[in-house]
Amino acid sequence: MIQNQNQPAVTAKLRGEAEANPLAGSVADALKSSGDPFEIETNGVGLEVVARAPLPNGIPNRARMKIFSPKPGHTLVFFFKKSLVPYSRDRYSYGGLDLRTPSVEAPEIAAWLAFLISGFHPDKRPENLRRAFPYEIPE
Amino acid sequence: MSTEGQNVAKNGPSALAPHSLGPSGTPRALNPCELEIDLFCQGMRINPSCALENDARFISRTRAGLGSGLELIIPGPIKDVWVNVPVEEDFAQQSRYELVREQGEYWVKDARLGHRYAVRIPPEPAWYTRQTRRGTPMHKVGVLQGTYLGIYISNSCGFWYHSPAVNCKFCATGLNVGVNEVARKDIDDVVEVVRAAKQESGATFVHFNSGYQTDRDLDEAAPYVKAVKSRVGTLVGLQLIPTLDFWKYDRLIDLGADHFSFCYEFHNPEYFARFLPGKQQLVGQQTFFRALEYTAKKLGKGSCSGEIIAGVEPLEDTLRAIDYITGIGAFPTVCIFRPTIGSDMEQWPSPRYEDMLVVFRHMYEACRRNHIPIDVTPNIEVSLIVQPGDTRYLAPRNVASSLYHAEMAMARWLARPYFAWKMRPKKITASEVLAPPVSGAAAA
Repeated sequence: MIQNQNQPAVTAKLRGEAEANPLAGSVADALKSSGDPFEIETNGVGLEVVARAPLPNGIPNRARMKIFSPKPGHTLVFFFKKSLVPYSRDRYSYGGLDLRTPSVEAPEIAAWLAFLISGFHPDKRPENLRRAFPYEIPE
Repeated sequence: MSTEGQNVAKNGPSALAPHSLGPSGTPRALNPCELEIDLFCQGMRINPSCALENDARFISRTRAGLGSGLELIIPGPIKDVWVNVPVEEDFAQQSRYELVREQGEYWVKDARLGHRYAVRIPPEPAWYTRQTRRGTPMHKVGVLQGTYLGIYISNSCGFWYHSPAVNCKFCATGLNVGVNEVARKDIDDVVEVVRAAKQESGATFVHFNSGYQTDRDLDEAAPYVKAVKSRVGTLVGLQLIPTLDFWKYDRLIDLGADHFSFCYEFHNPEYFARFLPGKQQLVGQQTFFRALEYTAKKLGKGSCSGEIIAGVEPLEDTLRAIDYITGIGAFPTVCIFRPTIGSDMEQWPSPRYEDMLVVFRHMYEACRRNHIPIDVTPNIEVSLIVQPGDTRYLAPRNVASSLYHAEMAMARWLARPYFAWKMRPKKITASEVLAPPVSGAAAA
């Protein structure tokens, strides 16, 4: 579920991203049908998803996923955490995917969400995840 | 380090400010080095009263990922201790230490024992927010880690790009580039940033490091060494994957390199193989040892270092590493293991304070026994590790320690003109293209 999907800004963001990139639309649909809570960030480039269910040890889940297209024909799926320090804009990468096709099978998207829900547990890394992900990632 | 201009009045003669309301029998407050060690082990929470956006340096997890912490200075009677305190990792969120700001000053409060410690927050250098002439943000070229400038010279680490990846398990280098840091450093950018750090921040030492570059590591560093030594003039250190082509070290020394450090991380060969698969398969632990021994002999006692991680391999192996490093005239650079965010070892526990205290007491004794110079080079405070000089706070009060401290004070005084000379720009005729000697090559 997307906890904040009724906010007008979120609705507009989801619509805009889905129109720009079919993959973002597929991911949004998967989020809506998931039993786990997520939120959508309305600021910044691309579709940014935040996992909201606490981790088993009680610590808040900090896992985020950003889907954006740096140039035609490429879609990047970037997994990261934001800094906990209030003023820091540092981001902690957990790798990503560089996709060359506009559509992705549902099980692959489900694997991305499972990775998010786990708080980026190493055992839940998606297949084909590139941990060294040398792309400039916009905010 | 100078305390000029800093408010030290409330600290009195010592950084320690034991909580006056503590019940009798409450453990004593920690000295600056003990607190440094415990902060590395426990991390720290940040209270909302803090105004770090105004008071602190930009945090950037460049290099292996250790720079993810908050830089603090713990004032003390022997020396001020710099520490990069873990604040981002999950374990830090459960720490008993909390940074608070009261009436404009910062304290680290120990919620369990009730002690509180006066600390200072080093401000962000003005040059961090400037750009080089090429338009590169200066903080993306290099950052201060303590008082020295750290520069990651090349595009990440080859271990991360092997298939399957053979990256060191504790490391997050491959995760940083492109996210927080410029991938490839331009030489003119580097010169500009080193000049700014020297002129505006008083940096005396530039430390270049690099991940695995397919045995081209030293070759790729050479132009940076020459440029900095000839155009700016600072002490230059190199932390690179080692080679058995020892003549390359000779050429780098010709270009002005002052220091080499070798991160072999674990003394126990089984731990080395298990946690450092790239170093095991493509370099070998013995290569680290031979290169360290060669350069330590070449540059003299206390010039080179062996870098290890404490808190993963058995304690006796760490102590053995310290004995080996100091025994060959190098100084030990001992990192307390930090389960950095995103690394393969993120889920590992942070080390126990009591164990780390054993390590650093041993380090002090090993340095003293081997007459390793500590804190002799001017203004090099490394925040990512417990420096040998910091361990003077752990020294037993005896004649041997007093003699060692007197010896170091004398060395510090005598070395001043030497370092002043070393930090002037030099005309360097040696080529930055490393070429083997025609004959009589130094080799393993």
